[in-house]
Amino acid sequence: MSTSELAAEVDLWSRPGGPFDPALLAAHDEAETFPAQACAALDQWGLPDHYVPGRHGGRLERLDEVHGLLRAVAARDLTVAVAHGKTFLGTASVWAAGDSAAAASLARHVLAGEPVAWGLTEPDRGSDLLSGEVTAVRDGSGWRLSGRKWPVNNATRGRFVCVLARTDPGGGPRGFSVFLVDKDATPRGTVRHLPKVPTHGIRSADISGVEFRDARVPAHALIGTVGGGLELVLKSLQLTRVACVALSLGAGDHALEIGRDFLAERRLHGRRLADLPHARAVAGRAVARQLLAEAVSFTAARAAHEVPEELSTVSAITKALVPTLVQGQLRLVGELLGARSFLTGVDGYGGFAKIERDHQVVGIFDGSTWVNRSALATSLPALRPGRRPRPGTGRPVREWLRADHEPAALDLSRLGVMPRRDSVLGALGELVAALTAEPPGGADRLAARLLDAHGDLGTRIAALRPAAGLPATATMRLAERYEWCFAGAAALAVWAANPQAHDRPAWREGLWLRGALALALEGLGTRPPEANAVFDELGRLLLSDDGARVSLFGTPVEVSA
Amino acid sequence: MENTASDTLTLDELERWLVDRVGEYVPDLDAPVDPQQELGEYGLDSVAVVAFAADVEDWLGIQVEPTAVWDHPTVARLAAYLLAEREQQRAATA
Ligand SMILES: Cc1cc2nc3c(=O)[nH]c(=O)nc-3n(C[C@H](O)[C@H](O)[C@H](O)COP(=O)(O)OP(=O)(O)OC[C@H]3O[C@@H](n4cnc5c(N)ncnc54)[C@H](O)[C@@H]3O)c2cc1C
Repeated sequence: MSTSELAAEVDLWSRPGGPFDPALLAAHDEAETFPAQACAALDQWGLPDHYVPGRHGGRLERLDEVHGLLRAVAARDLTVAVAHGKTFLGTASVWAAGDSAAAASLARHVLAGEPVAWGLTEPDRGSDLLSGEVTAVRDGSGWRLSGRKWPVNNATRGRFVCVLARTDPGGGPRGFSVFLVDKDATPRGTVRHLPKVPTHGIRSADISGVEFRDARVPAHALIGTVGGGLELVLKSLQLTRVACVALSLGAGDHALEIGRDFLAERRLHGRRLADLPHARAVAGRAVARQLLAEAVSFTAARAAHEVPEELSTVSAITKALVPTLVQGQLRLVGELLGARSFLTGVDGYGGFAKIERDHQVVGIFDGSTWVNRSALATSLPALRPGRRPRPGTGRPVREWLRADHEPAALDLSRLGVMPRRDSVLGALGELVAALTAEPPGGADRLAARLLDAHGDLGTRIAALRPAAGLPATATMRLAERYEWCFAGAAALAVWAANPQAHDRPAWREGLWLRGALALALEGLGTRPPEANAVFDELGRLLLSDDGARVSLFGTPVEVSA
Repeated sequence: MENTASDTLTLDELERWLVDRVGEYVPDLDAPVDPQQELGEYGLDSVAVVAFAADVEDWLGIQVEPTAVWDHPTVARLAAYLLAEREQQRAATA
């Protein structure tokens, strides 16, 4: 219910004079001022409730629902979604650390609308968490923090900042701990805000920083154990990386809406742009990217509930692939729009440039595409074929990807740092066989090629030489191939799990599935001959009455009863 | 390398196996791996540790969290931990 309710509200708020009025948000963007009206509307509606687990009095039960909500906001304005949704990221470590007085207290503040920031990055330290220099030293029963976190979303607005700090001067994987700092409870003058940083996209967001100068925090600011910070952050990131991709899906929705209008309206040489075969194929390719991104995101959101032990790889794949798929989708829509993708003042189309600017950050923060790919690359040996297979304990993937399946309760204590199986890719053989028994529109041929590519990938992974340090370029390439194979398998699994949807417009004759598989095969370096025809069909779908909302299950994804 | 450790594995054998394995991960080392040296100094830190833990799991036939390497960061300490862990996990499944 809540997803479609929120989407409907955001639509209402987007009318002239409303808090999501595009003119208002464009003005904030221009002036680099915070979109306070939009965030207040979301607070009033109760979106923060969805960032807090049910046990602590909130309504966070299902990640697919969080996706639906953030996507609905992002589909109207990505900056607002980034600004508001950051609280979900900032709190993740506290929920992942288990129940505590700190969790109960933070829950109350979030429910009351307090933003929470997440400070991992430090100036000049980038993605390397182990190089962090913000330190916490014991001070009586509490701690004293020193150093800077920058750049951090909501660092200035957020009353709370969750930070990773060095608690062992020697550092190392057990040398860091997580602290939840209540800035209001620190002695005067010991926490300083660093100025807002001008940015290329999400200009109106509060991208700033925070400096601790011997800032004293009480004992209960410590989240989890002393020395448990890196592990806790690595686990929390699995959740936030899965949640983050909803931002991409929303941006993709927004762009497709603009592209669709343009294709239908624009007349060239006496005909509609939509009648130009090339334009249709480009549009169809954009649709395929969006739907594949959705299939992967949906799989990841469900995986968080059903196979949390596998989330270390699933989240890395998702965060590497989905923003990349959508960034490419935006580029295609931009090509279709031509000059209108570049001119910011054109009525109706001027918003596109903002989407493209805003979206770039999704592939950078919370672990960039490369950082995630590199995490996957280092895990590949643990996924090599022939490893003593761990018996699957849960339900098969084609069961838990059914749209109306009630996912298992989120159990963050099951998150781990090493994958021992991959339930999605591991099911590829079965999924392809099932498809061959009942081939929708030739999708079986594409699926068979994916299976070949996967076999080849297995051979290459098995031949990987172990090595210390960061992965070699060749290993990064393997990881990328793994992502495409996973994406194809996810698409097949979503297809198999949802026979009730097979007669929906995007599903008939396996349409979206063929588009998704064609993209995955292209990603793997083959050019399936049927790709152009599939993309043309998807382009026609976008232009038909059914194209107003391009989504696997109908946008917004309806999840909770 | 044998595929699985023998049932009567001693601490010494386990240590030697770990020394060899770490050596594989750092092929350009000019001296043998020192069992008392922190593994992080061999580049076996948070990053490479997943693959390493997978190797150890496969060989010992027990479940090993990569974080065990963080908690027991030298070959000597890791060997002692793993041997105890193996006995415990086997007793539990026996
Ligand atoms: C708008 C915005 C908001 C942000 N908000 C927050 C926030 O709220 N909290 C927070 O903690 N941080 C935040 N960040 C910081 C963001 O997460 C960092 O940009 C990120 O950690 C990467 O750091 P870096 O840009 O310095 O790149 P570096 O880490 O210096 O990376 C440089 C390049 O190397 C690549 N690279 C880095 N590590 C690896 C690896 N292991 N393997 C392969 N390639 C690698 C990167 O992908 C990049 O291409 C924000 C950044 C921006 C731009």
